[in-house]
Amino acid sequence: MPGIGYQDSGNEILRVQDLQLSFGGVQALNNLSFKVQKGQITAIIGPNGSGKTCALNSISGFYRPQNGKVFFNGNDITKLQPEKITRLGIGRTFQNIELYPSLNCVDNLMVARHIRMSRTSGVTGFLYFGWAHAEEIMQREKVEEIIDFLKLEAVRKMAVGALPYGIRKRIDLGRCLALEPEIMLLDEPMSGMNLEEKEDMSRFILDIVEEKVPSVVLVEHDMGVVMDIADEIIVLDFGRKIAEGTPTEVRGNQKVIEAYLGSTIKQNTS
Amino acid sequence: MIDERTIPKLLIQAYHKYGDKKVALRKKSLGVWKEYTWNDVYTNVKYFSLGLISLGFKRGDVLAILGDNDPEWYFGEWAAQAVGGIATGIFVDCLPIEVEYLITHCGARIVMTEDQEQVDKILSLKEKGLNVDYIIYWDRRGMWGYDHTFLTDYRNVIEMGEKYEREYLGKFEQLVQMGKSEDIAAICYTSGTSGVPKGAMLSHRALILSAEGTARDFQWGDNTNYAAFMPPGWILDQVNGIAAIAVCNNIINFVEEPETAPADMRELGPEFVFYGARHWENLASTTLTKMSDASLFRKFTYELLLPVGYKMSDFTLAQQAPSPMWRALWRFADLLVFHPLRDKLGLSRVRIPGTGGTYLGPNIIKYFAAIGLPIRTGYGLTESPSHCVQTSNTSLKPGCAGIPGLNREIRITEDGEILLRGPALFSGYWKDAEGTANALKDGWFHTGDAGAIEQEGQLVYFERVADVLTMKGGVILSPTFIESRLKFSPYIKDAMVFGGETRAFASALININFEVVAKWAEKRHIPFTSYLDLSQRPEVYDLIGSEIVSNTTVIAKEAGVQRFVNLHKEFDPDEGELTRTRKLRRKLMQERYSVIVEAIYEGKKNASFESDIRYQDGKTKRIHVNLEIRTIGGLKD
Repeated sequence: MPGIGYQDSGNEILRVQDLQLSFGGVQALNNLSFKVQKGQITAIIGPNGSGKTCALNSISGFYRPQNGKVFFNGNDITKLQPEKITRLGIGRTFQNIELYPSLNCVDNLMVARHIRMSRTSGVTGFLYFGWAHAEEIMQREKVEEIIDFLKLEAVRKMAVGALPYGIRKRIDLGRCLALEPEIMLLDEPMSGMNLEEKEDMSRFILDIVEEKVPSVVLVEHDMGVVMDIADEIIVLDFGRKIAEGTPTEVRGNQKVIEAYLGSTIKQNTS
Repeated sequence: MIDERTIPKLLIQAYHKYGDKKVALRKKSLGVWKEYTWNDVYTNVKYFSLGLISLGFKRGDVLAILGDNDPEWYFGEWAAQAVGGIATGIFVDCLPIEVEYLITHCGARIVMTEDQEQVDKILSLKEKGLNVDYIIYWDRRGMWGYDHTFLTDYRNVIEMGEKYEREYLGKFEQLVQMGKSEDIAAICYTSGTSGVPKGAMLSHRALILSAEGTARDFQWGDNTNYAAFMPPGWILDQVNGIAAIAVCNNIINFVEEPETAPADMRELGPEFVFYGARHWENLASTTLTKMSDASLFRKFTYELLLPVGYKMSDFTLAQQAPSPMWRALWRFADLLVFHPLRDKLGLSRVRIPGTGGTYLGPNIIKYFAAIGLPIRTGYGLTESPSHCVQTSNTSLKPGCAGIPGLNREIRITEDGEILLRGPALFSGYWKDAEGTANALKDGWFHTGDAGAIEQEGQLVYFERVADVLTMKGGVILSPTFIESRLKFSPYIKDAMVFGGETRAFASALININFEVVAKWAEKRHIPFTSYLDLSQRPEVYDLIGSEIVSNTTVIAKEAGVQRFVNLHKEFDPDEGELTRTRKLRRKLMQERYSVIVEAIYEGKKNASFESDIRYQDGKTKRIHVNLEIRTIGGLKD
């Protein structure tokens, strides 16, 4: 059901409205509003501590904003639990890779399929009885498609904890894909990667948008990547939106240049 | 009786014999082995070849194929051959400039590619003027953004073939029947250690007779599992894969990705493997490295029982029967160490391990014989094609390449060159009458390799005639032999040995094995930043020096390596230093590193070197390095 102030604009999938989030005296998000269109890569950028991850956490239900609303496909999801939000079709990855290190790659992805298991109850699953076997094969097929898509075949059976950082990032992305979401929130998918890994990851994201999940919100530090692949960019600074537009528009924006090139540092130190 | 067999004719016979009752190919896809019966092979080859005809392909045309091993690769080659065409394979890691040369040289107007990466390569060349009419890809991934009219999906071509069949019923069978055994089936480009690659034309007869040689030498039956993961454009896969299945109707298995090959091989448990010498060398050094990292108990049992293996391999190689005590000891050692080790390598069921490509050192052969894998060496060239002499179980002897196979004649000229004759030879070089005339004289193929025939009729292969060096004191030096010994050390990934008439001793350029040496350095708290930095650490020089000494004890002092340099980078096929099958291009290397080699022989302690390096994305950068020259052995500084 649409909330107060909601206006349906057809192609919009996600809307954040007047979001306020503070931790004690720190204002993490200050009246943040933005929209995400279907079929687009929307990037959220900004200096460290500008509230990018807070915005993602508020959308996915990990943080409870003090004020404001989040609408997904026109429905108010602000007060929902993270698990409910995921079921509705919002998947996310984490900046610090929250995988199960002792499980292998397949099992980490199978965990995500749990919300798509419909025919097996906890009991039949535990006893591996009835539909359980067929369901397992069906879900495993989906997981194998993702393994193929993200080229993870060589690490399929390896414990995730022992794998290199770049591969774990990819598995994290794979787990998000396994949820079959309508929109993906990617929290710094390129952090800590070398140039080649970044190129691969950018290619994967573009392929995902084309073939699997049409809408992506991308939080990223690497300006080169963002300028190359994003359709829309939202720039945050100290929890506020300071600019919004296409890469070309944002690139020339004076406020953005200041935020990135040091006037914020002057403010901090003065 | 005139032999009019062609590969497609044999495939159709197998289809009539087995239909849907027997598996022909298996491909691991989405984690499970997907099976293709003979019926599937027939339909794919039939409709793809008719599809090719719809695109204008005709008898005598060349189809270039660029991709990793996949059933579609094989279907493509068979389809081209079925309509009287010729197939040529291009290695996936070839740079665009090499691809351009090969496609232009072979004159292919239709190129079959695996995926987006290869399509992009051809598209960029086409924009620059490469004359290609159609590009067919078989992996759809990432291909959504392309809308060129000349670019089409493998499945579309199949549909075109089905339509063609409705209009011209029976055309396929008719075309196959027109094939003759002397028709050219494939052009295989030689690896080009001595200049630009030459296209060896291989007739159906040459491929079929060679495949029959494989089947006989390695006792293949219709249930033999063959794992196809060598580049399909290479002669080994052309004979043992593409042609052998037509002869033996065995099963070809395609691994999921090149990176998953070890795990897939373990699942398959093939009875026969045929690895290039490089692959065996890598396996040996990986095993030695992993053992040095193993738990104390494992290391202890391995080191305790390895001599038992070596003793048994001495018996095998000398064709003596071991005493019951040794046999019992071997059983015990095999149970505890060697069988689990072979299992880890995916070779637990291997009956016949084979090698080819380039020279494999005796110490590596002995090592594998010790762990229960008596490798059969062979000798063969693209032109021969494949192996034409082969060791059998009763003729294993390190250093010997074996006895001539069926339909093979062999002769050594007065100056030591190996000559070959027989019905299975190649038919000449593509568009190179002069090259053909130089190589084929009176039916004898002049290989350009040096060798000798031993008393038992075994061929001993030395190396390319041009590569054998005579030293200042008159000692003959075989660089390949020494390099192969050096590469047995897990710390040395690659080496090139220098010498010559004006030089009194041999020297070497060494590529350290970065991963292994890095681990070694970490254990000893030796700090380093990059490959260059690590390679120039004095401790690493000490290590490599002692490894050179311990691995070349059997070599005459005059021919032994006395000075060496740890190179700042690995030898790289993208820079033309190695061929795509990882053989050294000596001439180019001698020119490129002449500054370092001169410094070595001038007795300097350092060599300053400047060169361009090429990154994987094609960018180049000029770098300047100062490399230490280390003296070992009896030579005084």
